Amino acid sequence: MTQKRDYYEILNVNHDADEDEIKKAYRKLAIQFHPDKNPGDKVAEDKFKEATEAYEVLQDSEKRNRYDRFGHTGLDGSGSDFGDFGVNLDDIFGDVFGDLF
Amino acid sequence: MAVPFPELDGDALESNRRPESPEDHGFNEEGIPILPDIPTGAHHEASSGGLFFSPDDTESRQLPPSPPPLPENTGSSLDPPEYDLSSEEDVGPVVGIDLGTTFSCVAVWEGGRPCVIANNMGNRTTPSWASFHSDNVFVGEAARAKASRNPQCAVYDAKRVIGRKWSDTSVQESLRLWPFSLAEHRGNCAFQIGSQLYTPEEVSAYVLAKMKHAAEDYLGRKIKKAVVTVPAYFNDAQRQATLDAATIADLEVARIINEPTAAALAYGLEKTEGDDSLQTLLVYDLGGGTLDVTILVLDGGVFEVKSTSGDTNLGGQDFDNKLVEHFLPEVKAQCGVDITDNKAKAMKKLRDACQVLKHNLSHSETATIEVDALINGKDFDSSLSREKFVEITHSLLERCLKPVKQALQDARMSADEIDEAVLIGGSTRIVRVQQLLEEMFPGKKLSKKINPDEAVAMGAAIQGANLSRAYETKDPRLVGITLMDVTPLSLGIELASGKMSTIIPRNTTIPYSHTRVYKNNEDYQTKAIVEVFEGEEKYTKNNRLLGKFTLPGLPPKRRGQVQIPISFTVDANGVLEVVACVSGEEGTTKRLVIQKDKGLLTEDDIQRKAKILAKWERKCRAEKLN
Repeated sequence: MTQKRDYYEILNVNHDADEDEIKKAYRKLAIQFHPDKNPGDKVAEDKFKEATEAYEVLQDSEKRNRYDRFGHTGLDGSGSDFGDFGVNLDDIFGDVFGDLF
Repeated sequence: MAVPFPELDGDALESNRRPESPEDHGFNEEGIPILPDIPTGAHHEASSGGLFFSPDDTESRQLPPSPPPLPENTGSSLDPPEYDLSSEEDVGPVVGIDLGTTFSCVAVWEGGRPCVIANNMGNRTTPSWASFHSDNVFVGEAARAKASRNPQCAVYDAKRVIGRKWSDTSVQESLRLWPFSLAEHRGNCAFQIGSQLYTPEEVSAYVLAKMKHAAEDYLGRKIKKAVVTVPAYFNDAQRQATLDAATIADLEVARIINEPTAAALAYGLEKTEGDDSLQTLLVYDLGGGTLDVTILVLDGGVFEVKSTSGDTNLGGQDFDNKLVEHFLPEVKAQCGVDITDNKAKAMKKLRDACQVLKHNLSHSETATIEVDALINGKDFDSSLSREKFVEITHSLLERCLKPVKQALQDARMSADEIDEAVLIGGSTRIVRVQQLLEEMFPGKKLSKKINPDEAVAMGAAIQGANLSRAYETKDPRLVGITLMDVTPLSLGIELASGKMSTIIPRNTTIPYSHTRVYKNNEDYQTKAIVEVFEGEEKYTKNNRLLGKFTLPGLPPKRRGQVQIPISFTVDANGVLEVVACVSGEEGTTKRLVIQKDKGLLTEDDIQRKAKILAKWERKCRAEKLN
């Protein structure tokens, strides 16, 4: 997999940006790169998706916290899946993210 | 009475099955056999054991028996298109069509605003009815008029069965109260008229074609493209089936958009003029058959959907059903006959009268029901108070707020953060529904500013205009508008344990892509079966199977040593694409791409039905029918 860009860098905000700044930054990018505004433009669509992913994380204080401490790997498995640990032996192989191996 | 229907070529009961295709034999696109059903519990012993076996999905599996091939002589002298559509740029405007359960509506962007187009009867909404006769198919008002004499030939509620399984409890529950017959067709539902079967896609296609006619008559040009709306809570099969219906009606779907989002667009367009403040809206859309609740933030021209929830089986028709059930014993007492017993005409009369009664109760405390000559020449009279109506429909009213609470929770908002609740859909005229919302949002006004029957089509027309012209030449009112919608249901794959591993959670803004890495479950496993599901349940057997494929070529390694990244991509139409590959030792990657399961019809079905419809359209044009 390709190297993931820093979420703050994607949204072009500082690490101490508040919720409102993050929201505004995301909206700006979303309008700019929305597929409706850029029909057929694959690069724009990818930028839109990238911005959405960054926003999904940074707007959620819990996810943002995890990202700040552990980077991208801290988010893999997106929280709830960790709860399934050890319930079933199969799950250790099925559920858990590659990075943990 | 006009039966049967030789030339109309709906699916005959036994013949006209779909031709053989590789999928029918359990092969994926590379011709690799998809493993046959393995009994529950047995799959761990299988040497080629999959990562993601479904232990119990016999119901959801879509591998119908291979039917005999279809003769390829469907062409006729009438087939060449009537219009020259070869020029790319002259596709006409993109119209917006609200394909409703009970009524449909079409609108187009004109003169800087969305404009609802009246049909040839002068009505701004058209009943979503089709009536099949030996010499013609009638649609809209004409079909409903035919229903009085031939109730079993006229069908409606196609939206309530489109994309649904025959075994669906909601389908089974409604069967008793429909005056027409429904039959099982390849595990799905089809309308049965005489010896012919008509799929819900076909019936919807007739309605779409009728809406297209109205727009063509009004604009004086051929219409090729449309934005079509669906309930936000429609699942993938229902969306795909709606797309198929549009294809049959020779409409290219520029975009499928969600009804509440469309309504918000129509509402927001009026609202945003000279007002740039941030607003949070809750759109409550209770239509003829579905309830949708969407929370969205309106910031300048950006419409960002925060969450969406709903009930695909709650609408005005259910209230009608309750009323019909309520009056049935009274009918029996007054007229001495049980009219549920194959008395379609009487049932239709009673249902129509119940609808009128329901409407009257929206503006008066008590209303009467009077049906002349309901059965055997006997009249039926009764009355109902609003209070009693609330009592009868109690179980339905209880369900009215559930999606509101869910949507708030998903958006991580409280009721007082909602600036305005916008009411859409005819059934929001029910007084008790409005009261419930007022109690839920105390002190907030319920906005009924936009016409609840037309808002969705108007919003679709706005989006149609938004998508149809180059950015530069766009109407200044459209320039700032950006619609950001979400996935209504979580998407993921099945793990070896039968659990759902969500890759894209519900209410994610689309378009979106996400990749997760999985591992092999067994030593030296050679292939993995990827089964894609949608839904919120922990175990996939309670969710809906969208499609599956086999990923071959796993390098022979111990359990947990093979990495399998799986990527989900949802495009702006909400259509999902899944890519899986094996990260091999040498860094090589094998790929296999699947689209989500196609709708319930095959390409051949669609093309064949499209030809029938095109012929019908020409006939209607030539003979000024419908």
